[in-house]
Amino acid sequence: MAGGGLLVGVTFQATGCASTKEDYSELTAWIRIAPDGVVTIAPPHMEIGQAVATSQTQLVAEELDADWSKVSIRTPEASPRYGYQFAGGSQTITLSWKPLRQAGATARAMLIEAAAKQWNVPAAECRTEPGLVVHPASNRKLGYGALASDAAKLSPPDKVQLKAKEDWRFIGKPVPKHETPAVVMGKQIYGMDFKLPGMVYASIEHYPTLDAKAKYDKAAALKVPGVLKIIEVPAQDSGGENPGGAINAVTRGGIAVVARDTWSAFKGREALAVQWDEPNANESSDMLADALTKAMAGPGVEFHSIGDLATAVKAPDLVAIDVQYDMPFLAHMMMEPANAVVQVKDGRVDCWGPTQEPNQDLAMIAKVLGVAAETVSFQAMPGGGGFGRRGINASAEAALIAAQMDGVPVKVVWKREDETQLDHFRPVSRSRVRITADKNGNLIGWDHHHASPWEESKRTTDSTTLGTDFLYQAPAASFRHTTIPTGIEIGAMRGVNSVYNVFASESAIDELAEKLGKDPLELRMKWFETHRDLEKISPPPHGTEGLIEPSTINFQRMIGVLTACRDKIGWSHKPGAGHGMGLATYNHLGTHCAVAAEVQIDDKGKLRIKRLVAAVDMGTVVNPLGAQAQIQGGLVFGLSGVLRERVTIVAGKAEQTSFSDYSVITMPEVPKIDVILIDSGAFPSGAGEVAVPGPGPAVANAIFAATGRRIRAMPIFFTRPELDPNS
Amino acid sequence: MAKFTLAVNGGKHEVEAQEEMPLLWVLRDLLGLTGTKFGCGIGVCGACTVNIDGQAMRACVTPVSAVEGAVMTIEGLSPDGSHPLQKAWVEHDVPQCGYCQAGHLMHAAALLNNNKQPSEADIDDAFATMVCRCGTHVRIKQALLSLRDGK
Repeated sequence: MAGGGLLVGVTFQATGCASTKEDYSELTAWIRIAPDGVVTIAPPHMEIGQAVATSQTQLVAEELDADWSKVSIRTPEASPRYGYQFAGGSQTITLSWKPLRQAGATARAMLIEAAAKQWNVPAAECRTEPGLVVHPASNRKLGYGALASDAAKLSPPDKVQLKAKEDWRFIGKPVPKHETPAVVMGKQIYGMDFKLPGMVYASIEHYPTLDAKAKYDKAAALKVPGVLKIIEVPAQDSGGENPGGAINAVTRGGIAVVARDTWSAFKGREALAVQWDEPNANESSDMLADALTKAMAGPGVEFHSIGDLATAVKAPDLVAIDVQYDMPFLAHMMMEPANAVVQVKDGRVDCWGPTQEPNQDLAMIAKVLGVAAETVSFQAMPGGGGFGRRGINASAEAALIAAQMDGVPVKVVWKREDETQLDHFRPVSRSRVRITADKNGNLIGWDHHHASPWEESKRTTDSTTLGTDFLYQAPAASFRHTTIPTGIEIGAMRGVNSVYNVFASESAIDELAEKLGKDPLELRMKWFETHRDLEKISPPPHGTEGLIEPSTINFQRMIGVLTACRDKIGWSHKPGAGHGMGLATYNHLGTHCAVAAEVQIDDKGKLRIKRLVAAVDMGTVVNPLGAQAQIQGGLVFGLSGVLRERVTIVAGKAEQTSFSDYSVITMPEVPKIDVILIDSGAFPSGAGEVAVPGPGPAVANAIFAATGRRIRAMPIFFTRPELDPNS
Repeated sequence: MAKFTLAVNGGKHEVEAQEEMPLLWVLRDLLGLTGTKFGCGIGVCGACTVNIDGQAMRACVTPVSAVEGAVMTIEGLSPDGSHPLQKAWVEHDVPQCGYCQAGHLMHAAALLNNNKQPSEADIDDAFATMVCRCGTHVRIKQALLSLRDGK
């Protein structure tokens, strides 16, 4: 538990209830019930804007049969007692669907048993109404608050009964996001806002590369009003790992300016006037492009094969396409820059900050300080966006500084320039796709080779939507990867490798359809119909077993999303001069999806994206309001990622510095968006990332339909500047 | 260093700060008003938007010495979340991570001060320089249009 007597957990209040009592009883690790009946639920997986604090709470409250007006939500501190707390991989609902419902049902059973004992009646004669145990035969009721401490003394039952779907009061309902009232009043406390008495602020001039040497003007920095101390933070092996991606075991380190307020720390850092000697900083985007070209000329390392591709493609009368697609480095650019507060005092280390994996922060702090994990606490704060960035946070470096501050708490704040330059970027990639079909459009062979800095031996998240996860039923296929070396730090970014794998696959199918003289939607529909009775389970990407569940690909469900998408956009393969529609279909970690785009080329030759339509089947929708928001948001994130975003590398560093030169889309470029959620009743899969890969190929294919010219390299307005309305 | 008297959210505050300290950091670190957010520090994302005499201003690039007029931050929009914009935001479940939303609400407040019946094109123009990475644009527009139309 947190040191210093401070309240653990940040409590979000639902609908005006406020519980200040600490004499709650705990019924399972995630449920606390106070004597006044307030139920405080601790959803284990982190909230970073994807509304899972609310949806996980719905799962617990449902089976508990809670009175929603008395439900409060707290962010649990880092601890194995809550189970896996990671937010990412679109796994939260999938992983918590059973355990959190079971927790709610367990607590409910214990409350019933406590009431039955008190009334001296069989438990089987009791039932619950929201927040109450009821014995109808004797017309007696007791609130959960009155029963909780007795219930907590009982042994939890071995087996519990879960509610039937027709009895759901919360699951499947559009429950508004819990935090919104606090957010709109400016009362939501993010890590960036968290303050302790006597706290100081630090801004770090990080080492740009691990072998860089610094010359700096310490005296000048100390003269800046408000600056207190200059501390060198060494690069450390902190054992941390980016979620789903490359290892980043090193806390980068740098020169820290510690000051009384954030502004003074920033000014102090400027006054340091650090000059870096970086003998080996020579990597560039051109060099990486050359490496990708070389990689494509090689055989690659095969990670999955089906049938005999070499023989299959030699048959007579076949049609083939052979094309390559490029995507650049991207930056996460979540709105709240990295930050962490750490206090090292009296043999304890306490930390607060945004994160996607609080137990990793705790372990990294313990490692860099060389202290026992039991002496460290980590309290996650609600995150101002994550998108895969918050696996490696400012916590370890803040701990190293705080350890030199005699018990004074320290907040490290990253500048936007730090985020843009020192991100672990979505990696650059090139994909080569060769599809072979017969003249009727039956798939004969699929050959897919991609190259990127992802290191194949460590993490095969490259297989997402490829390999064993591949949607299309090619009788012969080969999936290969080549790792290109780079000194640039890379990591998972919302959608991860699906983004470039789906861009490549869905663009290639469009090119095949064109060569066959077929409508690309009809071609896909034919492929799905051919296998309409097929359901297959694909294993999680290699290296993610236990963290990511096996996913289901079901062709009825693919037909469902494609049909809904087609009907909503009013699909037309040849809609008319200057107009185009394009499409992408895919299954992302079990969520079935079809995204269509409608574009127009205006009379000045500029691209206008008029509409995006996404039809999504994630099995069972826990919260349609939250799910819709994730699809809307994912489409915008994906579209922004392909219109203008890119990170270019010069002298071993990112050239871009902020939103000024790393352009993201804003309101005028957000098209009309339609989201169709299909609740097929299957086991729930995720919503957080599924929409991101769609806009790239859908828009590129639509641009082809409108102009007859292909987009094979992103971002669109860099490849085809003449289409840019801003140019 | 100098002393400044600022009118913020209907009250007067005395602070001692460097002349060039941006209003953003005076609000957050000296006055403890952390509703106004730091997103970029160079005035291009809009997370730090406040109102000064009813107009949208980016606090991260407004030195405290240049502040004239009445400052309103997100905390001052209403005492209890009852401002029509706040209610519309709740009704349409607008925020996702929520970090950019104070800036968006204050930007919207200034827009409505100047134009009570914005067209969709007016909204697009007004929000062209506001950044949201979660992609709440669809619901922001929905909330503003419904407020405009009295729905």
